Amino acid sequence: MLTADLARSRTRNGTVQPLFIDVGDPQYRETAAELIQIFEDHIGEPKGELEETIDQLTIADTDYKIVQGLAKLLKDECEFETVAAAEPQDIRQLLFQKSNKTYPIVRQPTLGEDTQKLEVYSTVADKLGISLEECYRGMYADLDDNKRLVQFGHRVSDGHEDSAKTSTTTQLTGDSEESYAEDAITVDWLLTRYNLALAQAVLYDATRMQIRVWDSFGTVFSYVKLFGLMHRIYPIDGAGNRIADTDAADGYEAILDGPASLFSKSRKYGIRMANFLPALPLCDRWEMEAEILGDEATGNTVAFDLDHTDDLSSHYSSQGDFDSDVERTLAQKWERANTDWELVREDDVLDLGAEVMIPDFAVEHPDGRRAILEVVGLWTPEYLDDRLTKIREADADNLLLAVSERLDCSSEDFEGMDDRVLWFKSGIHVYDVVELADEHATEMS
Amino acid sequence: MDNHDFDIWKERGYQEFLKRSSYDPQGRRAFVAKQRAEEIARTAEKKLDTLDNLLKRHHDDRTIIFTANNDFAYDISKEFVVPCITHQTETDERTEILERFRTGEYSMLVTSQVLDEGIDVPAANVGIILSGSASKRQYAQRLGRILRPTDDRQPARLYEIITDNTKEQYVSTRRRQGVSTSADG
Repeated sequence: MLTADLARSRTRNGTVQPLFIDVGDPQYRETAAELIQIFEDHIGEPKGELEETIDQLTIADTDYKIVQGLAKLLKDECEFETVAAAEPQDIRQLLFQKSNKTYPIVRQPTLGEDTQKLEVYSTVADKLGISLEECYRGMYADLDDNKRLVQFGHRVSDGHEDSAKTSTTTQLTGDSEESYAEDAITVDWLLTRYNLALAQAVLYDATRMQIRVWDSFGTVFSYVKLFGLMHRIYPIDGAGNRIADTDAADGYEAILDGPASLFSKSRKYGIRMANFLPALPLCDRWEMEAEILGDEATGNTVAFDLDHTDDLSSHYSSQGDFDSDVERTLAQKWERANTDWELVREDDVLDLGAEVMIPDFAVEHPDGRRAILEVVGLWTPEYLDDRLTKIREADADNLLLAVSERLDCSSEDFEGMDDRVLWFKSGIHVYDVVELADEHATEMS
Repeated sequence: MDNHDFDIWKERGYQEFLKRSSYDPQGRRAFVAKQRAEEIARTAEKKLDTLDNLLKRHHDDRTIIFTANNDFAYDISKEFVVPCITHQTETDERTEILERFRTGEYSMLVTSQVLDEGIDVPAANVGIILSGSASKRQYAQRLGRILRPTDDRQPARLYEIITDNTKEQYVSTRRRQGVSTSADG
């Protein structure tokens, strides 16, 4: 994603609009092609040289902020590593110890007692059993600028093993590496990603987001949950009006609200919304209306609207086959646990009257009893209160909530308030769930 | 198209130049050229030869070499095999280098600006400034840290190596004016 300083948008009459670029514009295509070429040419080379090349670039009169933005997106596809024949700090220490005994080390030899640097380097190289060049280049190989570009997209530098990337991690920082669709890096890929990234950057300051989708619900709501967004979901008709009957729903509306009380002075929640945005273009028909904090002092907000006609496209996977860390860990623990209860993925929408819930798991017993488990990663007291009220009203007796204690918003307030809430710190324990299931599961109809 | 409807020498002219260089292609080119010129002035090859001569003269002393940018500090570290401290140096390694300098195990040190504040720098009797900013306070602090004779025989010395006919000459003059003014007052 773009850093905030690379964002480009215009605010007018209370609405903010990203300054999208025309993907077909030859000027931007030339810029993108040249940048991609630069990255490919620098595979195996030091990071500092890559950055300097980009820094001194003036391509096709393209606004430098766009050049930097495109470069940032390409850099996100890169891996840099220290490449050295010996530990750089060891090389340095040996060199300095040796040199201190042999000063002055001079460029122009004199008739006096002086040393050429080559003598120092070769002595240390021999000691470490590495070549002279390896010694010289390895001395500061651990500096950020000297780290090598070992991987760019799917292209790996010679002699470097492709490290298997771990997919799907959700961290509370909101900085998550979700399962990307496998794409090669092309001009179209880059320019399309850039427009999406401009829209994402506007959302860094989002306080509230309202979305409407008319297809691919499962995928979209999986991403809502993956990024730990607090949500309320309502069934809607074809025109986007809320309706009471879930069975008659053509689509769903979701309110994702960022609690200013919990995250004031922090972009964390906005970043989650920004992370979520690429899930929307996976739908054929979608709408998004967000409130963006325009002025921190006054709390004034501006509107930011997008829909499927904005021609954004997604790099996210449309296979809803990913879990948050908490969910994946629970599934793994369950396999090792000794219990008759079985953990199954729950895809069914749970009707809460005017609202719906999309639970994560069901726990089922061979004797026919069943309970539903919803994992709540991020919450405020108001949000949790609202959930519990709705659940009680909906007579969903077999619904269990697993709520994270990790956020610092006084779980004591809710202690004992509801016997179906399971508090967890870093991970959910299988037997805690089993215990609650034993108490609250109902016969499957 | 008129790209010169502001005067760089007027008040706020430089700020305007910086602002324009982010979106105006010609402004951008001018900015890149200015960066290159400054880089060349700072790291002029000649300076290394001058440094070479100074190090020959002072290799028995305790010397700290100052640079204003990291790259140049590392260049010197590699060229003269001198321990180097920059803001990129990990705390452990920085502590270790300073300690070795204190005990005399190392007699030379090259550093960018990190020693300016909050770090207890061991005494040295020779300081060499290779390039710097015009900040008066920073300069005075550097002087204060260097001007500590390690024994009675020799006074402490401070050298400044600048490139002739570049912006550095002007910066250096202005800086020294600043120091003498504060010494008088």
